[in-house]
Amino acid sequence: MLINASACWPNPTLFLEHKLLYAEKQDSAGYEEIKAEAGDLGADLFPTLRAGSQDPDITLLSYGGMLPVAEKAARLLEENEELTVEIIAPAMLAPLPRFALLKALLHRPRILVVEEAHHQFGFSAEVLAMLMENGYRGKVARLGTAPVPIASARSLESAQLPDENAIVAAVLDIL
Amino acid sequence: MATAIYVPRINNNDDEVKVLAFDVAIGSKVENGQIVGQVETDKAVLDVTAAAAGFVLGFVANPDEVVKVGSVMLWLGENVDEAIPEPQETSLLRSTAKNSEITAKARLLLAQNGLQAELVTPIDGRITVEAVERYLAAQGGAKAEATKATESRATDVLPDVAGNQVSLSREEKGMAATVTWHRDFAVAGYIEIEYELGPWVEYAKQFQDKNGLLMPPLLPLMAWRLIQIAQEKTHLNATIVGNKRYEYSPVNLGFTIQAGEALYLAVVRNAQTQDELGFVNALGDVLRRAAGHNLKESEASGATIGFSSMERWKVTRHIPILSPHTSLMIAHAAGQGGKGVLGASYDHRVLNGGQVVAMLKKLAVPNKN
Amino acid sequence: MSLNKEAIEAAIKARIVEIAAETGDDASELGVDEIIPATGLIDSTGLLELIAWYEKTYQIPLAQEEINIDNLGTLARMADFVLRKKGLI
Repeated sequence: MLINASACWPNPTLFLEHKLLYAEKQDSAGYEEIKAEAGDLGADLFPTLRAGSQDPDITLLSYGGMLPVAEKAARLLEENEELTVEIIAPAMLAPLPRFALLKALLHRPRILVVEEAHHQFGFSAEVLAMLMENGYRGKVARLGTAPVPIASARSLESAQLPDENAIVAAVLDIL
Repeated sequence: MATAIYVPRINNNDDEVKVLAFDVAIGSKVENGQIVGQVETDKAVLDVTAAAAGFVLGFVANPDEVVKVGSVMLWLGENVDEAIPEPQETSLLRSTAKNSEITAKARLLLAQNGLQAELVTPIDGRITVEAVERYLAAQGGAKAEATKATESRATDVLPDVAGNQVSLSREEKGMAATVTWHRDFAVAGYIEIEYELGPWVEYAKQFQDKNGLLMPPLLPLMAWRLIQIAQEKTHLNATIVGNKRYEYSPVNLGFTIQAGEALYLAVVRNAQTQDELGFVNALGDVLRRAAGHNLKESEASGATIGFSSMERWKVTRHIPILSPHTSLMIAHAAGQGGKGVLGASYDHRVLNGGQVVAMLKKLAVPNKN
Repeated sequence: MSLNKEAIEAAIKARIVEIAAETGDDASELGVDEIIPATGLIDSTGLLELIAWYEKTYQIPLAQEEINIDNLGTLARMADFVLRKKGLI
């Protein structure tokens, strides 16, 4: 899929590899493609995916290696907190599929963007700024890694990276 | 003693592995170093071996289950019939988060309907969407007032003995609703002390003569003293909402008054802003209106602290019911032989016995300054 | 309702007797010049009841500062106060 899309794309493709995802099955797992908007360059090749409630209490926007963690958090939120959860996962970060994201997010009541990356000055900042510029009225938050180098020690690394409990806590914070 | 065989780590990036199979059965004997089962990650399958000899007591993980590295896989015992130590959670989902008392969705629903969580009866110890919806349905779908416990929780069945149902008057309904808060929310205690009547009687007499008052001002003066004490000790003028103490800014003094058949709690709002005579007059004013069944809504609600006397009935002690969202109600009664008892009902969630006794001791003597 | 002093005194006394009976006291011997609160026949709640009744019966809304011994301390004073308020003396 990635190869096909890259081959059809007239521009260079930078693929962010996440090695922990290698083991994951290629499975659409209930995700559906959000219809590509005409103004979004390349969105037909690298789609944005959506899963979960159509009338969510909380929308989790995530990508890459954080996506399985967000899915786990969504399950916890549904089971323990009775919340309806939606997950939106763009396959392409830049150019950002702005029209599709706006259409999908503008009327959602609460949005949490979850990144494994340092989120300051990054993807989540860009998405939320775009929403604000376009008159978004709900509540937002972002969750990522603090602006420090990633530790080598495994225990410290896990403490730095967001996990499902951190996502749940962040969601409960913005309710 | 039972020993555990733990889920091994296969590679550094995998904190979870899948249990593939067990090669042993419950009750079977295992030698040190024997293979008991296999675990799998996406990269490799690994045999799990026993670090000691023993009998298989039971499995904690199940085949095909994804479990945490380091959690217990199975238990070995020295004897076949040894007990398995306390079970431990191994499922990922269950181990990550504990159930909260109020689910987030229920919290949203409560907020949307302007409800306090304490109105809702939890289901299995948790306030869930279902619990909130059940409450709303019981209210006839109407938006309940946020701060009032107007309904008793359980519906009583009619007794099996012949009788007539009589509708309650407005005052009787008010009383029933008011005292229901005490049953549903307060954790009420009662304490009393004995005190000398003399100093207060003397003080009130002087005050009455000095100001030419028709009404004996003893109880208003004691209530005024209570207001002074409550300003120093903010716990006394507080309640508990959720997990927090809610300390009131004003002192709104509620004073019980029996007017004919009706029992009122007449309220002087912002009592702390009045001077002594001003308060005595203000209380006289609302009490007079209560006696004439003319209390305004604002004078019949919003008490933050209470005062009740049954002296007129020659009662020597009584245990008052706390009015909604208060943590203290003084119980004044008739004295005998120069001594009286001064008591207080209190919400033990807010106040402890020591605090109440300290307050009563202060209240038992007039402030000479 | 006749608004002469004796009639008013009698009506008020009748009410006091009723109120005193609520707490088991007998006020039938109350004199017109006895200071009512000093007799101990009716307590402060009883007094409130009396004043509330007095205001309503004679249609004279009272200000808190008017409720004192000088104006309302005895049967005679209470009767005078009604007549004064009504401009009858």
